[in-house]
Amino acid sequence: MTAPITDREVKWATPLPTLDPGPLSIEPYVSPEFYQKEKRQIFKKAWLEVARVEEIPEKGDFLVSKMEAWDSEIILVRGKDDKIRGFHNICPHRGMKVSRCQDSGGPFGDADVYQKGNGHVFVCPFHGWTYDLDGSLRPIVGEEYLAKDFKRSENGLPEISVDTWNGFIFVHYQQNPPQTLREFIDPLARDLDDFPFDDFNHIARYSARCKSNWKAFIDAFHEAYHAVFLHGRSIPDCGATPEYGVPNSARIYGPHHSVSMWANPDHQPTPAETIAWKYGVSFTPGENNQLGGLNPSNDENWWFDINVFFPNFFVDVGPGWYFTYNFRPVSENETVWIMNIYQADAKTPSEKIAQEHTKVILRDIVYEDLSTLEDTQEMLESGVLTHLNATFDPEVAVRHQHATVMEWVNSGENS
Amino acid sequence: MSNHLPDGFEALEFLTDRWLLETENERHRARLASDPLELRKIYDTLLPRMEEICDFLDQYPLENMPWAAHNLMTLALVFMEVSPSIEVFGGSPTVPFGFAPERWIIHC
Repeated sequence: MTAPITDREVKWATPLPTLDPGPLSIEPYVSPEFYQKEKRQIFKKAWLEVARVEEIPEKGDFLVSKMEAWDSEIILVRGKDDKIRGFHNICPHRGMKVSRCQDSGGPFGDADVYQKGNGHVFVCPFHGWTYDLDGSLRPIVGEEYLAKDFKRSENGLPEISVDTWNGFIFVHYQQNPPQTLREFIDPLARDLDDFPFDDFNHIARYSARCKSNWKAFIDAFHEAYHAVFLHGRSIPDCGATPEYGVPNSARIYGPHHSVSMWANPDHQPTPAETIAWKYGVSFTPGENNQLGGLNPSNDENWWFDINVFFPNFFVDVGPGWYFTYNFRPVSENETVWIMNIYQADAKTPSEKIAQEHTKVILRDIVYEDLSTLEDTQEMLESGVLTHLNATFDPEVAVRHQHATVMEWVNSGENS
Repeated sequence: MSNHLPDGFEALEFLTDRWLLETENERHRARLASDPLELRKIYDTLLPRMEEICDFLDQYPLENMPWAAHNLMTLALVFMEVSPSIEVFGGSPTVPFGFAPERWIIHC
């Protein structure tokens, strides 16, 4: 028996559900059939985050996003009444996409994230059927040739449910979801309600398309155990210490969870980091600003919180920044990953220079995180193994996600 | 030598040939395309001047900086871009054993 890596133990701030301590089945990570069940049982039954309200600030602003897990594509649009609505991007006449924006830019194109535009109406490029921003169908040229009982009022753009929380836009496949967004994301959302999301600005977006199962992808981001080894170069004395592998505290809220990371009080900043902290805020541990919504279990030596909204959205919050991940499954072994970083608006040139440190160090750390995914997926698919041996406390988030996925997939299969 | 930078920062002028890059994406691609010695030279040149640069730039409003001051700020952003290569990645332009940079999309 080797010595424990730390004297600290995870502080469980919520009752811990019964989690099978045994090995985890690999099937959910590799099976096309299992992924088909996940699409039905999870992605068409959960609220899914897509974008922030600032992405479509003006009336008539819209964005188009692939929803691979729905086998669809959606439009989110801010109406003339300022309300944000969502529709499938399909014309009820003959099925054409009503919005076919050109790639909206970015050096490599934003196509994997979404495309944006502004307009007064949506005009289908095929026959010109035209829809108001609330999805209703306008009078049609040739309406007299349609079936006698055709009703324009019943042939608007197919609507999806949309709601927001702290500026995050969530969508639901069903028109009348069994739970409101708030009911679905409480009480994890409540822990974060006091965080000043509205005061922060978008400073970076990264994305990648990766041959990895969406859950294996997520698993690389909600446990700290990997940092002890994988981040040995990028953050040698904050991530890569044995102690860091055990989180300070963890909270499990139904399908969601939240884990608080340990900060090394003896962390030695690099020269660039020291400059960043002199003039602003960086990602690596430094001065703790007193912001609401942070450190919900009042841990000592607290660094940041990883908040995971089931099934595929993260909001990681720290003392002067937050960043999000979206994991959009494309198939059982392919995922589109999107990262957005937000910080308080830089008011001076030196604050902007400090922000650059947040971006580049986070980006380079996450390069390491993405490095293991495709090799892992390839070998999971070899069939050599049937089960995985996740630890319990350090990787409790991996176990909780696995258990939640199994529960959702199995619970409604007969319904 | 043409003068791209404010008075007092002439010693950094040689960096303006290649590194007046406006976006993170441009700066990152330039770092990836550099050799380790070049990154070391940039880092060693800028590090001892960084606090002076920050203090100098803070006399201007962020949204309305003179052209030469804006160029100087760009070099400070370049310093941050190359800093992980020198400080933690042993001089490597890429993240060692990291995800393929050509598949990593920087959107803004």
